Amino acid sequence: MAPWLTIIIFLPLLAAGIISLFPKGKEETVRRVAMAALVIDFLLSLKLFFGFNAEEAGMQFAEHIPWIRQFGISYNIGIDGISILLVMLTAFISPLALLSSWKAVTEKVKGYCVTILLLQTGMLGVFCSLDLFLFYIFWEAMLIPMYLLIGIWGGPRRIYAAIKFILYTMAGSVLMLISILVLYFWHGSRTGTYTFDLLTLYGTSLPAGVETWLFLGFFLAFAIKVPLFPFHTWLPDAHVEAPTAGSVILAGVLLKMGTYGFLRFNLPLFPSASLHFVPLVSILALIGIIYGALVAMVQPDLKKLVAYSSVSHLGFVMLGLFTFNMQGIQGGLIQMINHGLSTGALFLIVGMVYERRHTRMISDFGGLAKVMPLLFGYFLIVTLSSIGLPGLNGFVGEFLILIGTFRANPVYAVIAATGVILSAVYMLWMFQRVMFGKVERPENQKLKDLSLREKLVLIPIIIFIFWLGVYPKPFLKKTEASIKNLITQVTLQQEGHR
Amino acid sequence: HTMEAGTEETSFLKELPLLIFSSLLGPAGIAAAYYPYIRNPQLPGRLANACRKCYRALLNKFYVDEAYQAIFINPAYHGAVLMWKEIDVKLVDGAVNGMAKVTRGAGRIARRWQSGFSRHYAMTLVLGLALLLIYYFRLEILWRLGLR
Repeated sequence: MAPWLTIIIFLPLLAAGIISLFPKGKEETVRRVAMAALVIDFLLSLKLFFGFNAEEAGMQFAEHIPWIRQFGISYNIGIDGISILLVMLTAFISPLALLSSWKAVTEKVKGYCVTILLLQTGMLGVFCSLDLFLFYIFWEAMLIPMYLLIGIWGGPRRIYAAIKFILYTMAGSVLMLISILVLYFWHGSRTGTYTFDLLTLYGTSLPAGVETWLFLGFFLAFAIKVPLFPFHTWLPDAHVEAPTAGSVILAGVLLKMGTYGFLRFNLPLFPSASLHFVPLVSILALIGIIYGALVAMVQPDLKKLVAYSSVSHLGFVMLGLFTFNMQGIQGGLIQMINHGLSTGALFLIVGMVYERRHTRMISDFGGLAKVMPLLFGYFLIVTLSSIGLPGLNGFVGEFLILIGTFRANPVYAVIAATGVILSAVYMLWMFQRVMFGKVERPENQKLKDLSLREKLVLIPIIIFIFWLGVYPKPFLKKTEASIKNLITQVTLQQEGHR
Repeated sequence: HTMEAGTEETSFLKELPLLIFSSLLGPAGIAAAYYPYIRNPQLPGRLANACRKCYRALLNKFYVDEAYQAIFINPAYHGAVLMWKEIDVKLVDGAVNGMAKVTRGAGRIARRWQSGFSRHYAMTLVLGLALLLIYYFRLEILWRLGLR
């Protein structure tokens, strides 16, 4: 059995190494090699998808190599129903993001491609790590490339945004590191085995106080990443200043790491604390949904609007995850994928518009539908997907989440449902102001419609938007066993504490 | 608990009066429009003059749009702008940037110890050593002073 996961995770790193040897002036080749690496990575990930056994709840494609034995650290990776879709999403989005920036990034192209490839390795590693130490390494490893991406190839306020991003996220990560160490030492002193192996640590029984603090330690790191209100303010700045590809990867994949972290770590490691904090998390999630939507509505900057919409959408995901029932968690998981696709596509489109007009202010547009009918069509589909129109992918996730939330707490569900209305408000109003009406400004009259490259970037996403909306079963099926396992794990552990 | 699909029986007889009524509404509307606008063209004008207020209310669709604007749209919009400017920008971001300011300020104060003069560093060493010794021998010192 070939170590497919290792190959998939480290292929981008290898490609980055190869690219860094290229001399200056070979930009096109550099881009092509990077693109090839990412596409091959995606094709390899398909092997994971089709080789995945949906009945199996445990880890598949697992690899376990002891690394630093004295400390119980091992190279332990694997995927299950929860991470497989996220790995696929990562492998899918990155090549599209790189393709979208083909013409946009012309300076330091080599560094740019290397950064994206390193980011890819980091992200894939995060989703596959089953060893806490390894996870932490990959977690930190994906912060640096993102920081560089924003800080070097970003907009006018990029330094502020990049530093804000990295300090904010790192602050949370440090607390997570402390929690990891506490868990390591506690487990070690109680059972005699000092290990960072996640699956072993799942069974650790902790006294309520310790569990609460450890939960909070991890919570902060993930809550900042999601982003959960009130730890969200780094996101609008990061998105606005990041280059298009950076925004696409940030919104498409990086935000999901926060929600993934909750599923993979907080819930199974600290079940009683998780249960205890359901009201707090749910209320913060609800605030995120409503507040994010309302603030999105009044944004004059397109990218900031989409950034706040991410806060709102991921509020839905968080709400679903903390219902602890199948629909809620499955809805949350599929909505993670959906959000990655729709919001990724939104940022791609905003990037395309920006490339033409070098402005993101809604007031600078108007009537673009007449000038760019193809863009209008794609944009419309993506907008409707973001709103959650039935028939498109957004609806599947939203609906499952609402069902799950209603089962857990009807009041929360009602409040969340009003968020659906608000998402229609801000998206449609934005769409109307940008696309419809008369073409007031002369600068807008001569804009070119989508090029072949731009179509190539958007079409795969559009296909999945429809596919997931109409026939999500093959994707949902893969997640069921692992989610069921997780729910049992959490509720049983809960019983064990009583 | 399980969710069951609706299982009411719909009786056609119950629906019939409603069916007839709604089917008649269409032709009734046509007839109601036919008379004043084709047969008797003065009628609409005279009706309008008879009650100017009624006419204006109908023309402006009972001012529903304006009511919506005032009750829902404007408060929501201005409320959202307020939330954005006050909560997000001032409060939350203020807290975040405030933490950065505190760190910078602390650094500025702490920097004063780095004067560049070795004699100041030597002084710090001596002071630190003195404090350490005092702490280490605190009980002994207090006893000697007669306080314990």
